[in-house]
Amino acid sequence: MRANEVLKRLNQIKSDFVSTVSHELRTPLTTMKEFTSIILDEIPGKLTKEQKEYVDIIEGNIDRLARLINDLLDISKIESGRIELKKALVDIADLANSVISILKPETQGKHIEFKTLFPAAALNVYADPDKIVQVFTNLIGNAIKFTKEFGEITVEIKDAKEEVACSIADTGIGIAPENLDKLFGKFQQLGREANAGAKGTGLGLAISKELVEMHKGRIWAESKPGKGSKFIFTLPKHGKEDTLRETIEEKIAGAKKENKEFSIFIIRLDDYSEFEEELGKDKAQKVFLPALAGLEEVMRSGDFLTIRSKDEIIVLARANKQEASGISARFKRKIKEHIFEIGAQLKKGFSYGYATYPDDADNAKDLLGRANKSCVQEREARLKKAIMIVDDEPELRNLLKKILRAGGYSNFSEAGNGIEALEKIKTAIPDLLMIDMKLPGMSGYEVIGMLKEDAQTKDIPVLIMSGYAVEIEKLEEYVKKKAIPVVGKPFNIEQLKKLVNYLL
Amino acid sequence: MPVKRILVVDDEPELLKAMRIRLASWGYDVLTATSGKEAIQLVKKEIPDAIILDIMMPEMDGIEALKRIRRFNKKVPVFMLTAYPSQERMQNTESLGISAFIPKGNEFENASEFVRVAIKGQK
Repeated sequence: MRANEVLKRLNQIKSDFVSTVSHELRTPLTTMKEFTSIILDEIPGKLTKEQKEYVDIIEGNIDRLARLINDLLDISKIESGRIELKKALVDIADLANSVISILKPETQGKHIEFKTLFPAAALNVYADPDKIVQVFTNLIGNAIKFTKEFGEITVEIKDAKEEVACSIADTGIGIAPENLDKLFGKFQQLGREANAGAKGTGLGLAISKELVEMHKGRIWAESKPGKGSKFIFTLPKHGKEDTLRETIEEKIAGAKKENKEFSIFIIRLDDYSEFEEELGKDKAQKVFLPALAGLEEVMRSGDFLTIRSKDEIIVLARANKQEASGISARFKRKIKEHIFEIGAQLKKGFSYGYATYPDDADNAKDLLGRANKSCVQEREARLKKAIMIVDDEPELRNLLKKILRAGGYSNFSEAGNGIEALEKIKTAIPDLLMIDMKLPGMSGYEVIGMLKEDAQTKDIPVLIMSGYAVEIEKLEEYVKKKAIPVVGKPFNIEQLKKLVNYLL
Repeated sequence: MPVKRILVVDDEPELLKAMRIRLASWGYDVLTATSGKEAIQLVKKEIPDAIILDIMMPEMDGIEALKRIRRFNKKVPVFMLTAYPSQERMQNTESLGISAFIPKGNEFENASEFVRVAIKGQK
């Protein structure tokens, strides 16, 4: 027990040391890289062919050092347990293909043939896509390095009952049997004669091994000297439910120990296929990305975990119940903003919800159940929202209502002038105010101004309707930076619907 | 207003020299400072259009220097240079209005290339 703690402490010191050293190495490297590029761009003066060749060599070696430092940092992070896997449901063949398409250009002129043997149906695993890409990049990169002209590289993915097996085979010189086990140690370059090109760091296979084992997989090599080598790694096939439950259990155990709270957030596209139809496959797949990218901003801390599949993201983050409600609302906002930006109509919309440990439940199953139960359908909630229409022409108000009713909205109030509008707003605060600028008596500008001055009404979303160019500068003193969308008269119905969907 | 005059702050004089040459070759006016203190003085006096600020500096680090700069200049775009882009370091900086974190010692791109792209992104 004590020896164990000493070991742990030593490991920590070692890893702190490595990251400090890496940092100290990067600074001089930056200066070197800046100056070589200045010389290569011939800013101080023209280079001879020979000079250029030599400085190119310097630059290549600077890059090699940079790679080495990055790999050292990776190893130190993994060994000290500072890497957390960001798992998602991914099609493993997609990952392999993306790596192949990036690395293929390196084989140009070498006449190396790439063969892929992938199963017909998608083979999904729960894994950290970035990390698995790193493993593929390393193994396929090695295969390219050690394959001579007119050679062949075969990437195969097999469904092996409990696991998925990925193998990368080359037709290079192979590895002596006694060296096969040593391959995955650190700084092992076993005299395999590599082709010209970027030199390795001797850490790639060690990193790959750690990453695969973090996923509870295995990695090994097989080889026939003179014929070629084959590297195989496996990943456990793990149901999404299992992974999710396990992850939540881990998080609960951690939170219990530290006596802390955390929340589960769920965001789900209600009908993915319809969404895909409307947006196209590419856009539909990426619809969550901006919200995910904005997570750090939403969470105010990097301490969160995401579990992602095609039509759903689940986020686990430190947040108490009160914070969770705010975060959930901002999440919704981010996704809506994005959907609006890409010009989609939000026909089906999405659901979102959350639950907090330990307030809502103290075990994984119930917590997840509560989160699922709390899911609100964005569309249904939106259609119930109260819209106030302010215009002095009753026919126009009717027309607007007709348009919005066709879009599913049903909760309207109306006013024919500013004073009436303000009075009605005082008794029931609407979720959206659609207002004409040119009203009898008090103008629309003045109404907005009054609303902005009152803490209770200042955040009501406003949609301006105007036949005239809106005098934004008139608004600015009230509205400051908050932009207010404008629809021109006569209405563009599609634009109007889109804006209302977005604002609510 | 387009960025014309850039203040670069780093405790490494040689890196400063490289950045000056590179940024000047792209047509920028370049001011340099080797400490947070000097940087604050320069921002007051010369009012640069953008600042590139190293995070790890002895005495006053870049974050502290930026906090003090923000007390009197809330607008100027700031790019932080970092050799160790860890999450911990980037946390709790939202209120400082940092436009981008620029990695040092990146294997694919020069720090100055990142700066160029980042400045172009500013309007």
